Amino acid sequence: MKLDYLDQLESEAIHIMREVAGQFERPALLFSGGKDSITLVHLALKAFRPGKFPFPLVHIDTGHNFQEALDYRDNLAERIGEKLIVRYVEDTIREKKLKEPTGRNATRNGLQTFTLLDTIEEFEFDACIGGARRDEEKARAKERVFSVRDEFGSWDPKRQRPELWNLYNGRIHKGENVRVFPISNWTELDVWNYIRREKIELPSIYFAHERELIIRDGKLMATAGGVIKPEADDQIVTRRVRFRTVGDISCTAASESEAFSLDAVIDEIQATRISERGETRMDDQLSEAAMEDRKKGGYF
Amino acid sequence: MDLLRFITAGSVDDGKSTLIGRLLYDSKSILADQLEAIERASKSRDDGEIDLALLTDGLRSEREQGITIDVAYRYFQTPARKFIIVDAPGHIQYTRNMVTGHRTASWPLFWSMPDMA
Repeated sequence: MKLDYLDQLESEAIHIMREVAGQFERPALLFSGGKDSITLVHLALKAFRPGKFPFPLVHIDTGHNFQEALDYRDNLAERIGEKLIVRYVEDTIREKKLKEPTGRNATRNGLQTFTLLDTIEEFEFDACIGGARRDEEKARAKERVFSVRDEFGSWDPKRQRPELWNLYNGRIHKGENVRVFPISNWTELDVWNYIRREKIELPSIYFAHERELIIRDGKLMATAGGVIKPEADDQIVTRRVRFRTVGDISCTAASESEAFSLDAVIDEIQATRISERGETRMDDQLSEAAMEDRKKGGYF
Repeated sequence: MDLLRFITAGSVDDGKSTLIGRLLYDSKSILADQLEAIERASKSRDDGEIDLALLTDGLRSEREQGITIDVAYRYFQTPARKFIIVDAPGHIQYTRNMVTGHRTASWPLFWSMPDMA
């Protein structure tokens, strides 16, 4: 029997998850409440049920997340009965006396890395599963499925190991850890088609809704939670929008949309001429190699 | 829908990355902001022509040296088929990266430029 492309992607991802369970002693699944990590949890259910997950869900909370995503996270963890570990960027700022970025477009997104590295150290995680996809960004397109990071979490593109057929090499030195990306080969559209096929529930902010927003540098930024402080010349509007990606409020823009259903969202994505991160992420637009540099610093 | 994975193979500077860039360009798979970004990056080049290889050469050192060092993956779709394209390096020093690319692909596309000298 010839497998449909979604079946092929699914079985590849399940295989990778089981490899993690087999090769590592203390793995973790990084869960943000976004559609990609929700897809990972669904794949983990397929990979390990009726057993328990061989890893906890870990969320690095910047304190600037959408309430809808946080509620979804807590409900999901309870519904599937898996362990959820949350660590707060705010605590790291306090303990390490980090300087919080200030100014007009300040974001805690960069500080997440410190908390992530501390959490990896605290629990001695040797593998962290993440929902990064290669179609998102040109540096991500270069990363292996099993990506070895040094003790500072740093990615060295020049030190990537060969990765042959479906053999994944998880051997690491003490102090190193591996970031694992089971949905590397999925595109944004694949994720949505899979969510539709599997009838996966999503946080409501992925669908069109009315919301109060600040127009800043041509992008629609949410006023929710008071994360972004309006300035005198900022225009505050109410629009019908949805979020194409769900991340930290301070760096995730909304897009105007009439897509109330999964089918409508999929139509919208098929018709768009702008990439996912280009439309919504402020943090990637800082420089040509913004993502590569963040990865070298230990980011996902 | 069917899934087809292929890789470009060939020697250094034969235009493997550029070929992939052209395939993506002609199939209208390059999104507006991505095209804008490579147009901006191409401006600093001597001839000022748009360099489609920049679509897959995503690492800083690749862009500086104008070569492919590690494998990159790009995705596009037609109504009948979904494609995963693998762009592999041609330098002998990066053979292990090239081999890594082959693992993902079911078909190689051999690409060779005749010597223009």
